Amino acid sequence: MDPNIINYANAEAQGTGTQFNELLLGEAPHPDIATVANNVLNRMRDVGDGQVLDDPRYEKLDTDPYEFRVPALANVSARTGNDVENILRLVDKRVYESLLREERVDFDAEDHFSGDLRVTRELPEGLGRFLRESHRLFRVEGWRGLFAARGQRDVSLLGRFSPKEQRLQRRVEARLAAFDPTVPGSLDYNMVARELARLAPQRLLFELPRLRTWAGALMIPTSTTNVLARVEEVVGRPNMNQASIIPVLSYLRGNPAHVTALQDFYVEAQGGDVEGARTAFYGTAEPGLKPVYDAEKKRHEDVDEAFKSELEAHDRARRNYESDENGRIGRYEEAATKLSTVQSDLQELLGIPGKIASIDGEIAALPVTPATPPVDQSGYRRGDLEKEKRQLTDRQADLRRSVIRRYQEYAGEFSNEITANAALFSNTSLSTLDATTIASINDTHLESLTRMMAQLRARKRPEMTTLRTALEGRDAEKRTIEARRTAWEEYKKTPYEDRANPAPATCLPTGVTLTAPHARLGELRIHDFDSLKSRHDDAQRAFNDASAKVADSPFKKTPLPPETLLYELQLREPDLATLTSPEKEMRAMVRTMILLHEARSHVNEGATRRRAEHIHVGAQRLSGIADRARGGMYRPFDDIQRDTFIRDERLKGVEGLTLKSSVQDILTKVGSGALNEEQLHLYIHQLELLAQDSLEGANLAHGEDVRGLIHNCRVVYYTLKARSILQETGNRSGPLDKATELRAKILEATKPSEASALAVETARVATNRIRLEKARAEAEAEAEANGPAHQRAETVAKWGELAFLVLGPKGVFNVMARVGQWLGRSKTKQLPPS
Amino acid sequence: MKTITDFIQRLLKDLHLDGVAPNVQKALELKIGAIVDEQIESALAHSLTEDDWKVYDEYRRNHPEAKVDEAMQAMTAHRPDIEAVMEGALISTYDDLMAREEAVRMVLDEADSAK
Repeated sequence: MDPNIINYANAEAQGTGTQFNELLLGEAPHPDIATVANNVLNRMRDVGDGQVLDDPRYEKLDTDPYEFRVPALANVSARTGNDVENILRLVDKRVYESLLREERVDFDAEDHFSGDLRVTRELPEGLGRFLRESHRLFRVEGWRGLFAARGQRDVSLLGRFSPKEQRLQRRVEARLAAFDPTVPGSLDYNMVARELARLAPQRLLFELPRLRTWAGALMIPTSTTNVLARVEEVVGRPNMNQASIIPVLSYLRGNPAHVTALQDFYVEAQGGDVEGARTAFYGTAEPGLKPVYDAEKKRHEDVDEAFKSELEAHDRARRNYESDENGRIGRYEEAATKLSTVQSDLQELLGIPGKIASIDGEIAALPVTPATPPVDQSGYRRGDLEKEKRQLTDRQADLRRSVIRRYQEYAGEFSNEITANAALFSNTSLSTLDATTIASINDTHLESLTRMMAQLRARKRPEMTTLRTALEGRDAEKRTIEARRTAWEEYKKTPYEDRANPAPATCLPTGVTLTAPHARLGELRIHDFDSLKSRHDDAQRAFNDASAKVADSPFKKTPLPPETLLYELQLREPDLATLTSPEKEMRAMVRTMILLHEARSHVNEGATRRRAEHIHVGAQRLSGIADRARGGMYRPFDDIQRDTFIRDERLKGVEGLTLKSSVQDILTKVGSGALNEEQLHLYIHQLELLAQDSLEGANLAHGEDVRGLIHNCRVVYYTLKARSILQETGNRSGPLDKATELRAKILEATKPSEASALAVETARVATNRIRLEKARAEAEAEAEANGPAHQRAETVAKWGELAFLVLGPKGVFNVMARVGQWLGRSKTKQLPPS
Repeated sequence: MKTITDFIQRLLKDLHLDGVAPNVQKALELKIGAIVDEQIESALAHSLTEDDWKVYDEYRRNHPEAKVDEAMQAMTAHRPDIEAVMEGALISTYDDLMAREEAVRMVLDEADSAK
């Protein structure tokens, strides 16, 4: 190291020279110093990313990124072997820590962007300027900008904030990862806004460009923009520089492969025009495919509606025509019925004069003067006859009026016969009915009425035939409309690229014309969204049914929106272009659904083995559908098993264990023979890999769960180990060292605070047994030395003898007294009579 | 004072096995002795601690001429609660054997009544 540099650095540290921040930020004139500064910053970044410092002295500092900077600097300087460490030792650590604490408070304060920094008053000049510069950069671009401006590679921000902020950020990340712009309501904007507002301002500044990009480019509803505006208001920094869209996508979706698929898809859709695709997708010049599809769907719905209206109008017209015609034709029948009434009335009327004449004859035959009493019945008879005659006369008048009224009513409408005979049916004629008149009427008009009724009914028949013909014609028209609608349904099922202009006469409603579908719809590759959607709905229902059977299913709370699946399907299954059968579509759909759920389970903090099991249950149900469709076995879940949890065939033996499994659960597995010592060992190894993956993926909650299971497995493993050592050694003496070693290993594997009572207890008992065996062997050797007879007496019950020695008179008395109690009970209750 | 031999004889008597042939009785005594041994050893294995064995080792070191039994006594005297454990183990052994005898007798009675 150049002594000048040392002097320079020392001078910096004492606050008497030029800018210390230049040293730190790589702007110092000497390249070695710049290298040191870069190392320092890289080291800080590494620590911020969660890596563990090599030096165990700084291990605990990982938990608080605000506390590690001075030690990190010291660590780097020690590793580089230069005197920067001396410089840093000259800095008052307490002052620096005070600074960091204040810095933290200041970051959380709302007036962060306007207030002066309060942290520099006790600091060396160089350090203060460094911090002021940092804050200035924070105000502009946050951490990313700070490091980018210094030529550093991009940094993960996760480790730069307090645990509370990290939790908030993870929550926001999960919400954004689940966000699908095609699905309304897939992002709770208000919630995100609230969470963002709770983040430190610099973090919020970083989030804003992403949200603004999505809001502007992907057609988020206006209300969202309002929410974002409120967020900006909180920050007070509108119009931030927007990051490029692809890194934003990558960051949002958390899946670079997904972003690549998105890019490829839209580039292809634009005929290889990258910029065009980007423009199309992000919606500045031309809307993306989703709106195109939506517009096409709307056109389809309009045609469907037109068909519906046409059919309804046709039905209505037919109904009205039939009703009108029936009414008109019905009047013939009505008239005939009325004529038949007239006929019967007339017949009755014509009969009445004869009856009256008969009554008159009978009255005339009666004596004029009644005989003297006592009784002459003829007087009563006359009265009765006269009464009957009056009634007949009244009835005659009624009938006459009725018949005349009917004739008057129908005279204009009915045949000429009525008109011609009107005189005969006049009141006068009907009032003076005599034998001649009655005969005339009988001969002419009753027959005339019969003829008239026959004529009416004869006129009705052709009318009815005409009506039936007309209705059949109308039904044929309806069948034509329905045929056109069927043709339309078929048309909708053809691939978009194969659709020509639909012919109005053959497949469209009357008066409707439709141009060919949008050219870009062919790019969707799925020829029938609606059909696919209905099948997807079936699959989704089956999936939901399966998940509902699992208690506390997370999917009950967050069902997968079908639209999301469709959209994802386009993006994830490029080979859909070659699909020709529903089975393949179903397969692709099932696979997509699984991939989505898998992705979500990775994204969500609460991803656990239980969740993976839920996925598996639902997926199995779906595979049943796919199997039936293709008539064979299809197991698309191997990927999940491999990628999520079950990484090795050897782990199949522990199916059923979850991340929440207790020591007792695992012991039960062991007891049932489902798990042996070797499998458990491998299982622990696999779990360790999984825990590592989870922690690297910042899925801390999942990692903690895995760690918990690892601990429980270790406890059981060492318990098994202890037992197997005992079984291996039997009751022979000698394995003390092995047991002691095992015990030490257990204690080492399970830290004291985490040590399982079970494992420790097992090891202790194992050690005791070994020691007891050793003591017994020594005792037997002593007895052997004293002679065979003595030995035999001693070995009847070695430890029993010892027990009686230890117990002494009082203990022995207790034992024998208890034995006596038993004996008494046995005698009274159990012993058979002798 | 009663000894383990008295205890075993008492057991044999209560089990109505005191009238069997001498060689069988001897075998039974050994068998019961083994059971008692197992119970007491299990009780000790679950009760003793490292400190107890330190006492034992210390005793053996300071009294090399003493028997193992003395050292064991010294060790258990250091832990008065072990007495209760041993007492319980002996009673449990007795109860256990008598319960087995009861069960066997009930089965035999049922077999007799079935005939």
